[in-house]
Amino acid sequence: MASNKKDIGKLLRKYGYSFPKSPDEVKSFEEKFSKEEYQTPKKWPDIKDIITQTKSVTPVIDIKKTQNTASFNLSMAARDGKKISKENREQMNKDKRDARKK
Amino acid sequence: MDIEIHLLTIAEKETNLREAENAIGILYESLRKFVYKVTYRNISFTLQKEELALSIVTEVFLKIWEDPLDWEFDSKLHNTQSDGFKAYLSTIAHYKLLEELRRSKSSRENEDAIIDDLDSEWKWALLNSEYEYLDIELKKKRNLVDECLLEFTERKRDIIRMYYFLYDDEKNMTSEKIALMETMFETTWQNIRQIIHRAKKKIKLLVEEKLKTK
Repeated sequence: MASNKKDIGKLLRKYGYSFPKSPDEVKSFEEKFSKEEYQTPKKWPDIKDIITQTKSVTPVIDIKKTQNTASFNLSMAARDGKKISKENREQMNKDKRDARKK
Repeated sequence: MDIEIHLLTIAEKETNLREAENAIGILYESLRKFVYKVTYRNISFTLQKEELALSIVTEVFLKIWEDPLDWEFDSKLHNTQSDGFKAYLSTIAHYKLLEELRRSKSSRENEDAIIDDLDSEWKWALLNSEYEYLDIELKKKRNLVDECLLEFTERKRDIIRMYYFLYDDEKNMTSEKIALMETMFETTWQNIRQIIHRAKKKIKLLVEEKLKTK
């Protein structure tokens, strides 16, 4: 990169477009967003659960931005728009477990 | 709060578990909001934003519990323990989020290794005057970059924000990051490049115009 040019990375990190990684980037980030209210989680995980990992605190994340709404709608249509019953759900889970064993 | 003392206490968990749990609890209570905030701001590209942010918070504090002495206060680098430690937590959060995205089965299944070109134009270099202008402009809650982003569709905005997240100073995109973006947005790198290129061009033009009228 030419010496008279500066990279935008630092600005992205300072002003909330990426993670701040140095104390001055943290300072700029906090100054900009100090009054901004974020919806914080209804319930924070207990620190004891985190350090002992007695409960799973990591959810399964689907990184794909889009969801296959078409197949979802078809499943709903097949059930005449009704919710899956408890019995059916148990059977489905059992089938899934059996399939994994194979 | 003396962060280093708490970290030392955590390091002695083998001999005094209760004190160590108390110390990690104090750090967690006072800093979890910060970690959540920086993480939450950086995940506009998934539907499970809150769950993912929370997961990263737990990963970050687990890392502190497991390796408490990986960070130490350095008066040459840090003004205070707090700002130095927050920068460290934020850096961990960045890498944990990247790790979380990489862990996805679908991203591992993408076997085509695409390499970004070496064209320096692709890197996001700014003239000194442009950099200085943006350094003031971006302090505003609603600034030129945000206005510019609003001109794109939501999906394209997410692609641009994901690019910001993966952007590594003066470096080309790695094939792994390219594969990750392709998987997430179910599109080609060529398409992603075009969107980023348009966004960069737009921001650059707006900055140039502002500088001319100054």
